[in-house]
Amino acid sequence: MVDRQAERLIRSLTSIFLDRELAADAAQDAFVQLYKHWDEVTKRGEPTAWLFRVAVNRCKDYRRAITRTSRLVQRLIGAHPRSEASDDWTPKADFLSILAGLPARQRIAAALYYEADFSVAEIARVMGISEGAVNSHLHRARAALRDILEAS
Amino acid sequence: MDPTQTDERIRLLYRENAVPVDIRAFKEGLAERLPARSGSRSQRVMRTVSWAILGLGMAAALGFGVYTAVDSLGGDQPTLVIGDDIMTGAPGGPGAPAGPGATAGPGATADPGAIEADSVPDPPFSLSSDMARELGEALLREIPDLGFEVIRAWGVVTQYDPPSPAWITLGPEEPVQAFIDIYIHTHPAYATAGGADFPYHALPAGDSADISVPGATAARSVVSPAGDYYQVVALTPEDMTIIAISRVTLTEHSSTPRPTPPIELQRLAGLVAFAIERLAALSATGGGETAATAQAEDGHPADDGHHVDAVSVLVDAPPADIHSIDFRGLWATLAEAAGVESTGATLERFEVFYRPSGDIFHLRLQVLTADRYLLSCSYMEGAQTVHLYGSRCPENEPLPYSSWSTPLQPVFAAIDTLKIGTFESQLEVTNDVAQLVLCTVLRDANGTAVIHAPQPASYWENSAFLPLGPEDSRRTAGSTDVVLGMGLGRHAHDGGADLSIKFDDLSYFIIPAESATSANGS
Repeated sequence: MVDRQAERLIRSLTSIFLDRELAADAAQDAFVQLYKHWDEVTKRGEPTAWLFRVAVNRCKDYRRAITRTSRLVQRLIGAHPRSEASDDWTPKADFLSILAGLPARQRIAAALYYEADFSVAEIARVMGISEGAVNSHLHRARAALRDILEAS
Repeated sequence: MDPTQTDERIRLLYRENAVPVDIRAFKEGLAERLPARSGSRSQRVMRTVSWAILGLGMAAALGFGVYTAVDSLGGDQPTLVIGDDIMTGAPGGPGAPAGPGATAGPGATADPGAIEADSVPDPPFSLSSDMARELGEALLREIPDLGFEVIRAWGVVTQYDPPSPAWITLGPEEPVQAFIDIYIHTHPAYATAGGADFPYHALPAGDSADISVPGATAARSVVSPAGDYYQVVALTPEDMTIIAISRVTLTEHSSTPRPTPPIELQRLAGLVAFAIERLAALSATGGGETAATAQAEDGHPADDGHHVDAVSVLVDAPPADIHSIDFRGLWATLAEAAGVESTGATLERFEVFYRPSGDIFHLRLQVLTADRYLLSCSYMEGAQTVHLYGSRCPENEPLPYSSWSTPLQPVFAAIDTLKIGTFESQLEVTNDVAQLVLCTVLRDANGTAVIHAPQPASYWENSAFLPLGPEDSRRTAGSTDVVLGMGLGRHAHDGGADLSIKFDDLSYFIIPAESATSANGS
């Protein structure tokens, strides 16, 4: 399971939350929980969707706290959050910019669809929303990402 | 560029920009954590960051806010304490608990909200237990740069309420994630918009902002195989009081096709009827493979074989049509088309949010029928979509908390009395947002009175069930009197789709049952 899912889980989470450390942490958390509850989860028949849902929720909770922290740092000392680009990861600036500008749900839907190759039905289960809503989020995300393609 | 081609190119774009993943290091780290979990790296990082922030806060010593996140209560406890939907007593607002030690009020009964009917309240995981109190204070003391003395100097006392008997356990399903974050803000509420901070009430008109509420808040989240749970607690300068317990997800959802092009509103009822009919058929079969077959017959092959117990329907409609929907007519049509018994139906939730122009930007109407079908209709401005939802409460499970005693007819009569029979507002509002919530006073077996009302100073939820204090005049309202709660406040979103509203002004009216009956013409 780790071999099959870890890489795409981390990459998807990074595309969603634009923070690789956060993504790796949340992915580890999710795998730990999956390990603990394997019997229960597999009984329900969708460990992958469950894994992604737990990881996404975990990231959201981290992010909620970190957002407040970052805001406070800026208020106190004018510091800015660290950049995500690094020596071994140099994503296109406009790609990150577009992703950062998408509402969270569009980012999640797009990452699961394009990065993790989930079907719309699977995304709906991960996000806990209807397939129609997933399609709506994907449609808008696709339109935004198309701008990058057309610009290039 | 056709859609398929676009998708392929976007996939390539993702691949080109994918973050490199060191799977070996990841697996090594994972292996270290599997035998014994002692708190995630993120939590440790967050705590470290929090300490640093708190240190800065101390150094600054200028009355800025201080924030801290504290570590998990642990994810191994066998019980999960939750309640159904929202139960709130916001500090300072109507219905706020009387003081330290006040309970969560609406939770003071055993049945509503229970997931396992035969479950026994068990406090080891609860914030309310003595153990949790010890743990909570210990966690706060762990923050070296802040120190418990500082917290005490602010007048913040970590006092946890005794467990409410309404809190229930989730049975054999263990929570798989559980943690608590505590945020402490000592600065006045502010709003950040356009990169600048504004005093809350000076937020530019029409702008959106992140909003920080005064006081201190804490939240605990639990993710379990059965769903996600989110509990909000609040620290006020005087005490710590549980203000909200929310159940986020409990059921699997399945959607019917979203019709295109937009259809006439008259067909809404038919769609819901279809949805509920299918739902009933699936419930009768017991789900599993049969459910998959039923879905396949509808042209929706089930790819997971899950039991389907809820159906969502999204219907596109022109805004003008949506605004002209008649509450009572819609309900009657839905009930008739769905073949459900309208007598004895109760109100589950009714909310309307208005803009100063009188436009509605969000509404929600939920009704529970006597034969245990939950019918919901909601609309969000701009979506041009009405969301209809039908689900069936299993026979052996208790009804939703909010449906104990809210008869539907007086509520509809009150709507008539107020001349808000359609979604078009006749109200005059003086601020960005007005919210109306209608309900009758709910009472549990212990006599605790609760109303569903706009919630002041809320960041996460707009309205909730508020316990009424012993001196609250609303306690004397009759069981069929309708309470209209009205809040005026500002609307913001948290950098995305999240809706956040803070109500600055709250008022309420009691509409006597006689008046409602008279207006109802019955």
